[in-house]
Amino acid sequence: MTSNAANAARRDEHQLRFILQLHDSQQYRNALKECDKILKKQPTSGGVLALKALTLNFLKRKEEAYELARQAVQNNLTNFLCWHVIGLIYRSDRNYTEAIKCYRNALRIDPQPPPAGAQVHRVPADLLANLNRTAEAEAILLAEFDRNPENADLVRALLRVRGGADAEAGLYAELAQRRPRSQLVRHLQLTSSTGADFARQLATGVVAGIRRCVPSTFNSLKARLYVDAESRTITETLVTDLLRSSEAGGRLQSSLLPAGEEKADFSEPASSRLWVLYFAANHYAAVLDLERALELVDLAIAHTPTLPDLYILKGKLLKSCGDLKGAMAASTYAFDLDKQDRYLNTEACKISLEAGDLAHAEKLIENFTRADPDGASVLKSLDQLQFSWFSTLAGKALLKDRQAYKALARFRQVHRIYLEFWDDQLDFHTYCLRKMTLRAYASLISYENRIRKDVAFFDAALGAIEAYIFVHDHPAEAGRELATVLKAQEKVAVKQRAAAAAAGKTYTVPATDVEAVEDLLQEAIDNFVRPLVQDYPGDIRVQVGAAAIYARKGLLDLAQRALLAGLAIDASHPDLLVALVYFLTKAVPASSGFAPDAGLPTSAEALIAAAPRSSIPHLSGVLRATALMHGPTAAETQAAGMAFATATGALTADQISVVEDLPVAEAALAWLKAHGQEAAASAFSEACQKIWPRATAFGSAAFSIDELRQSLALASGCEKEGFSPLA
Amino acid sequence: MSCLPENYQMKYYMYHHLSWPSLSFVAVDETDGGKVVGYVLAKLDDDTPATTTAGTAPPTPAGPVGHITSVAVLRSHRRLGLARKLMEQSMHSMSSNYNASKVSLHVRCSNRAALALYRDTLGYEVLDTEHKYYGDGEDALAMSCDLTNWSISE
Repeated sequence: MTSNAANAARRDEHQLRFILQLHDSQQYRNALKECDKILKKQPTSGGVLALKALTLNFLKRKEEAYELARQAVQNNLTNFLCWHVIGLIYRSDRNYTEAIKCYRNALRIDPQPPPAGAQVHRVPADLLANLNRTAEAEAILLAEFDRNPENADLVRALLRVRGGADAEAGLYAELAQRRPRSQLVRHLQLTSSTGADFARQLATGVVAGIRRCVPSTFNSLKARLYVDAESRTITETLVTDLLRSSEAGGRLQSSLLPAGEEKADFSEPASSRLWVLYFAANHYAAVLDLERALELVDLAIAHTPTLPDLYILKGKLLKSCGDLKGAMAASTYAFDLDKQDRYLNTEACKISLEAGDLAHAEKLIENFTRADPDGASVLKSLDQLQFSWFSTLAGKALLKDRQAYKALARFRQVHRIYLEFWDDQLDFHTYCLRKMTLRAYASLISYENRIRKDVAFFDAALGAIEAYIFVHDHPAEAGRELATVLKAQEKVAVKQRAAAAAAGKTYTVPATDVEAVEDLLQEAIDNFVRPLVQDYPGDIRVQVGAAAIYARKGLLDLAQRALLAGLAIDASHPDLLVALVYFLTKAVPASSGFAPDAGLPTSAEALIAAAPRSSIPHLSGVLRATALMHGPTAAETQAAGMAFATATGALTADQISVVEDLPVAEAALAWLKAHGQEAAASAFSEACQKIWPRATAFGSAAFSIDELRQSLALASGCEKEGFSPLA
Repeated sequence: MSCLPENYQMKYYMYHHLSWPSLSFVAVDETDGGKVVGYVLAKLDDDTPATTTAGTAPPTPAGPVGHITSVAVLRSHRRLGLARKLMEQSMHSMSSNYNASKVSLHVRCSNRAALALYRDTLGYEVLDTEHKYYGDGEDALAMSCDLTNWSISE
């Protein structure tokens, strides 16, 4: 049975390959003859029908091609190749909408996404496992493991064959014996162990990592260190022991380390103290003792002032404390120390954008964007190089600064970059058919169909939705921005156009230029809302954003569906409260005769009254909902502002999440200021200063970045080596 | 991908993946949501003639020649031996899946760590210096490694 099926599959593949070879040498007529010959014997063979259609398409016999391609699909609804070919034919006629539908169908039926290298053998291994031929499956997997002992998929497959979690310890021990240097196996042994065994392996592993100066020692274990009280205590003991024993510069010691395994004459490397400090700083950051973490990272910097990784960590810690300027200075200084390192540059750039300093970020990224011969701006090359993260963060920074149209231009840029990624695959369709790398191609298609699931697109889309809402809700302010920007852009364009003409070149509009789009809400729906709802229906932020846009567009059915979905995910989410209040007080009254679903609350007032008030995000939601209901300048809104500030001051420590609440608090302060609530803003700011003493947003002293970098350089004794401001 | 030493467009990665699907590898940090922390991008030099017309052409190598287009590891994941492991996997695949006889690459003259990895750990030899190979004017060393008797260490 099995071997008959395998023979048939092999024969089919052989036939298809031959026809494609004829295509390759453009022998379309011979390809047609070959197709007909096979079809005589197997008139319904999907692959051959599809390829005949493709051949006819090449011969410009369009109608027959479509007819046959449709027939192929109808007879073989589950055939990957059939859907592809009809997609290709549509594409050759530039009918992208239909082509895309066909590619999607192809994906849906597509076999497993194919795997590189090792996994080719794993497909038969899985089959054998399913047939209960475990011994053979195991032999294949073990041979693959010997070749690549760092492949986690292989180890998981082995575990399945061996019968799941119970077999874990035994399997890992065996694999460790086969490949003693496999870091993956050692890691799995450590993270799956418990109690005293965990303590011993952790201590040994961490000390080894520290002695080898491995920067990721902490991060690779982070997910395991705090899973329960026992693990946390073990981790704390280890950190304390290592800090104490390394302080005097002696050998690393811990009560958790197995005794007598080290040689008596082992001498501790000088770098061990540094990496102990680095590990410990990461530990205190993870348990949110940020001040202790900062102390330790400063000790590490005093030990080795020229190690960029330390300033990156310091930057991250300061960012978590809300000292964005300090964070920017520290990470920029890390890059000052090694200007060849792309990673350092990216980290510094990201923090600068988060601090809202676009100019600084652009200066930084110029180090890694190729100089344009036309002297075009860094922004143009950003677009060409498809740096979507930069555009997303820039968009968010601009929106924070209430420049919504400029922000939209950046978010559109991300949308365009992802569209390009998508389009790229189209160029490879025929290429792959010819190369016969169909499996790789299938994986690309499935990747492309998931591409907007990429977290980078998700972030940009959520930011974009906020910007569209801002423009809609602040028409006067946004209108002024648009007019100013368009005027300034035109001025530049006139100059550039003239310069281009003089040089005999054509002028291209910069990718970040602001556009005046007629129906912004429709654009929001097409480019961002729909892909988000499709890919992340379970995310509350997505449903809230969708509800907000649909409600403003007057699409109440869709808005309602999103609200109901949101209620099912997290009924007490503060942003959902705001979206519900908008829907009930603005959208429904503006429509004629819309009857809301019985599952939705009916009274905005009751909703606000019943909303929880036990955290800053919840309090801020209540404030924004009140403003929506009564109007931004109403007495009720003023009172809500003061109540918000007072309630924040009265929150207890366990009601505050220092890292997650910080951006919410910053946004709330900006909101109060923008709504002219000076008294509430200053009371709120005072309350926040107690929670986040280092945060610049709440009045902590701000220095200029160059001052801060200079002082870091002085402190580390590197100023002689040529510190120069970026400017 | 902030570890990238050079800038490539998405299409360039697709081209490699679609042409030689089993030559490129990524290192993934499973403890960080599957983030890509390193990669090797490799290809085969198809333009190397596989067969020659009698008598005229120079002697050709026994199989195609592999080429490492780019290899990089994120700074936060250095000192784990990832670059070596990625290179070894790619070289193994070149030799076992494509029967490649040798593999070549270019490296910046200033990149001492990489040079040491290629020469001392993986057994590459320097063939030549190519002047101003890189966009910024830096010279490159052209290196190659014989794959005929090569195998992954350990």
